[in-house]
Order: sequence, then C-alpha cells, then structure tokens
Amino acid sequence: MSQISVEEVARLAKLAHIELNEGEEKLFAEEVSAILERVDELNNVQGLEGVEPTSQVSGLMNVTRDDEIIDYGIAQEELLQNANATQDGSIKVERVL
Amino acid sequence: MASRIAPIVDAVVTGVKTARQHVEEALQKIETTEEYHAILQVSKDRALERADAVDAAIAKGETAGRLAGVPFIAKDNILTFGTRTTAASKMLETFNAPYQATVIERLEAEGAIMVAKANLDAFAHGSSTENSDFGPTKNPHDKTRVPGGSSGGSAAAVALGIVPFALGSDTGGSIRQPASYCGVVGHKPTYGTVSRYGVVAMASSTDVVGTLAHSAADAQLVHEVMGGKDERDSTSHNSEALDVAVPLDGLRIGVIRQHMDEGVDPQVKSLVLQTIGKIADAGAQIEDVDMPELAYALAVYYVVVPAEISSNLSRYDGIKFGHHAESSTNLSETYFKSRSEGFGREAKRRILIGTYVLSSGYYDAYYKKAQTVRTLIVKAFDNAFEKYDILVGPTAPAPAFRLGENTTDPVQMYLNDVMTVGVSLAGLPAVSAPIGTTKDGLPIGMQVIAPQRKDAMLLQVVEDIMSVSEARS
Repeated sequence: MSQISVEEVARLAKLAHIELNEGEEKLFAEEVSAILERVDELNNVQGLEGVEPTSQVSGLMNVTRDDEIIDYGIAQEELLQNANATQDGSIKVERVL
Repeated sequence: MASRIAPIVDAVVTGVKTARQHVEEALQKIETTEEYHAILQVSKDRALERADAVDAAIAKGETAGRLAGVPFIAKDNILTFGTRTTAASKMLETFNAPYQATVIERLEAEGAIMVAKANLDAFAHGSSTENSDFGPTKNPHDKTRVPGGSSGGSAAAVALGIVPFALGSDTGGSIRQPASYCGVVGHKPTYGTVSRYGVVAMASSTDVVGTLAHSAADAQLVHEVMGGKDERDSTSHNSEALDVAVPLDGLRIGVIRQHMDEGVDPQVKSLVLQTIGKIADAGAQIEDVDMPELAYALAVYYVVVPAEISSNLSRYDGIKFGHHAESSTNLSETYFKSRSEGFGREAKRRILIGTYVLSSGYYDAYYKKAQTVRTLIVKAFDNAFEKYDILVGPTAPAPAFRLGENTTDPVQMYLNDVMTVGVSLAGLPAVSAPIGTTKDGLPIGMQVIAPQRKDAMLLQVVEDIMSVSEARS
C-alpha cells in the first residue's frame, strides 16, 4: 500500500504549498516510497486492540494561566523587522488574486 | 571526568583569570579550528561586552553567578541576540531574533557568556550536519568523517575544546548521537523539563533542549540553571532534584537486548560490554532486558515526527519572516516559491511524508497507528523501569561514518537513530557517555536511560560510570 506515485507526490506538494520540478517529483516518489515501505512494518504489530494512541508524554493537562496581558518587552518594530514588507505598522502582502 | 566549568568560575570569581580572558581564548580557538566548520556565526562584540560586565560586577564585590564568565555556544536553532538565528537553513538566513530563548536568558543571568552559534542539519533534520545549507561540520577525531547530527556543530565545538559546554536540541537523538561520534557527554533531558520558548520547532511532542559537555556534572549544572517550569512555555515542568546520592553498588541496570543485537558494530558492542563489566565490578546488578516493542520505534518515529514537522514548518510562508521569493506576483506564488526556495531536500521530503500520513484516507493507517504503537513503546519502558533503575546500550550502532557515505539513501541515514528514537517517543531522559575509542581512534558512546524527570539521578550515575570506565573525553 505504500508505493507512492509521481502524481501522488505532485498532489502532496500542492497541499503543502511546495513547488517541485519533474526531477524532484520522481526523486521524492522513490525516497518517500522507500521510507513508507519501512514504516509498513507497523502493520505487523499485534495486540493493538483497546490501546489508546499517545500524542504527548509529559502527562500535563489543561495548563492555563491568568487571563492577563504579559509585557514581553518587545517593540512592534522589532517584531516586524523580519517581514518582507511592512506599511504603517502592519505586514504587507502581495495581491491575493 | 573532571569539570571544565568549575575551574573557570573559580578563576573568574577569585580574579585569577577574568571572564574577558576566557572569552578571548574561546574566540581565538574558534579561529584556529575554523577548518572543522563547527561554528556558523561569532558573537564577538556582545560576548566581550558581557564578559566585561561580569568582571566589573565581581570587582565591585557583587555576587557572581553559578556560571560566572563561562563561555558557551548555542546551536543555531536557538534564538539569540547578537547573531542571526538561521537553523542552518536558507529559509532563515537573514533572520534576526526579536527576543532571546529562555535558556539563553537563564544561562546569562548566571553569568554564562554566549560566544557563537553552532552548525546543525537545517531545521535540525538529520544525523550528520550534512544537511546544513551552509556546509557540513567535520568530526574533530577524523576530518573525513561526520560529527553526527543534528547538533554536530555543538558536539564538535565541545570536543575541540572551544567551550566547556554547548547547547543542542534532541528530537530523536540529535544530542546523543553527535555526542557519541565526537566523544563528549550529551544529555537529552526529560521531555518538557527545559523551556522551548525561543527554539525553532521541529517535532513538538519530542523536541527538547539539552547540553553537550565534558562531564556529567557540568551537564547537570547547566540543566539546573536553564531547566524548570517557564511561564512562556506551557509544556514545561520541573525535573526531580536528587536528595541522596545513588551508588553504583546495588544499582539495578537493564541492558536492552534489542540494542545489542546483530547490526551493531563489533567494536561498539565490545566496548559497551567492557564498560558494563566494570559497572558490575562496582557492585551493580546487571541483567538483559527484552524490549521487542523497540523494534518498531524507528517506524513510529518516521511517521509521527514528519507529521509534526509538516505542521510546524507550515508557518514559513515568505511573509512574516523567513525567505521571501522575489519573483512572486501574488500571494499564492509567494507561498509556493518562498517555501520551494527556502527549504532544502530533507525538509521537503519530511513535509511530503508528514502531509501524506496526515491526509484524509491515510491518517488512521499511518498516523493513528503510529501513535498507538507509541503507547506500547511507552509501556515497554514503564515495565522495564519497574525492575531496573536505569537502562543501557550503545548510543548508535556504529562509530562516525564518512562524509557523503549515507547522503544518497535516507533510509540508511535514518538507521543511525535506531537506538535513540524510542527514548524520545517516551519522553525519557538519556545521556550518551563516552566510553572509549575504536582501534582507529573513533569515539564510542553508551546510552544511559532513566525514568522521566530523574535527570539528576541519571547524570550522577553517568558520572560514576565514567569514572569506573576511565573514559577519556
């Protein structure tokens, strides 16, 4: 079930907002297939009935704090300095359509 | 092994040698070891300024910090002032951190001085630093070999003697494996016990910041200073202090059978067995422990971690920060072109895998299944720790490989992590301790694993193991 086609790689790249050329699509189809083949060994694991999935391991639950503003001491200009384009204290983007 | 931090603090506090002199020496060593490419950027002016501030405070008789005047290096996926923070990626080549990571703040508050940023595999994706967009680091013990990764620059910097400690991050072995390859101590703390505020995210359910150093005592000191609950990281919590020393005599140690099986280099196996013999001579009770679930750790890891990576890397959109494609004319093109130009082959491959295993129709078959097998791995460790105080085995199946040896086959490269990923999936603390070298002089590390939050006990045991094994580091 894990052989992944060039077309499938192209579809995934589109979902992930990545542009690939034909050579890359072919290369990734091979590499991702090889990795998924290895991953297929999970189908051999026995005794999974009734076992809950684990998504975190520290056991912390519902960590909250008081709903108060914390001053992190970072100025707006500092936060905007890494943006490609800004205008009037906002981040500027290219046209959407 | 003798502490390298304590003598520096002593000298600085007593005025025998200033913080400035220590920092100048570190900066000089960075220059003389340039050919290893352990360092991406030097923070010279800021480091000297801070050294002078430490010296001035001591001259005035103010209380010196626990790390007064100690120079250190941070992996370049940790946000710092005075340098860019690139994660060794083109994506963040010009990124200036608007704030500092909690770990840097806490170390600096105790007088430590960040002198440089270390090389890594881009976004910490890799086991050799060959995925760095700025060129690989070379192993200090053999320039034709890799230092391991992804914290290869940090491990090499410590092995080269530039600084007494360096910070790394470990998601599936990225502190332990380079520590093993470079012959230094690498501490991957319990998941959550060190704040990740200001650390470039890779896989949020296993990422942890830790230390590369020459002795376990030094790693413990650094962990004490930088670790613990941080209000700015809701996943952070404290590890347990050690009230009473735990002697090797009577310690119950399990040797993980699955990590000593075929596939392990004979020299690695024999050094680990020799060290275990010495620990037994010191009075520890040694038994083999069978953990068949660990056979699936790598497969689980290579589903769960790419899934988290694809999610974490979705923030790089070419707009708020990070590489922006100049040729884009609309928003959609900005996303596609910026990400395609800014991410390297490894990041792209992991994003594709993550997108696949999380996509509709495959989620249950891959992601949910992997998370379920992860539960079995967690339970296998829980069960083992009912019988044993610590677990041991090799850190990596073999010594450092040659530059270029594994770059064409990702599956082969991923096999380097086979002994470290299970520990990460269970969130356990583990240390790679140097236990000797091969006939060719390549260092070998032993992985020592403890139950969650028992970092202090673990590091004390490692200190004892290193003294009985008489390893040089």
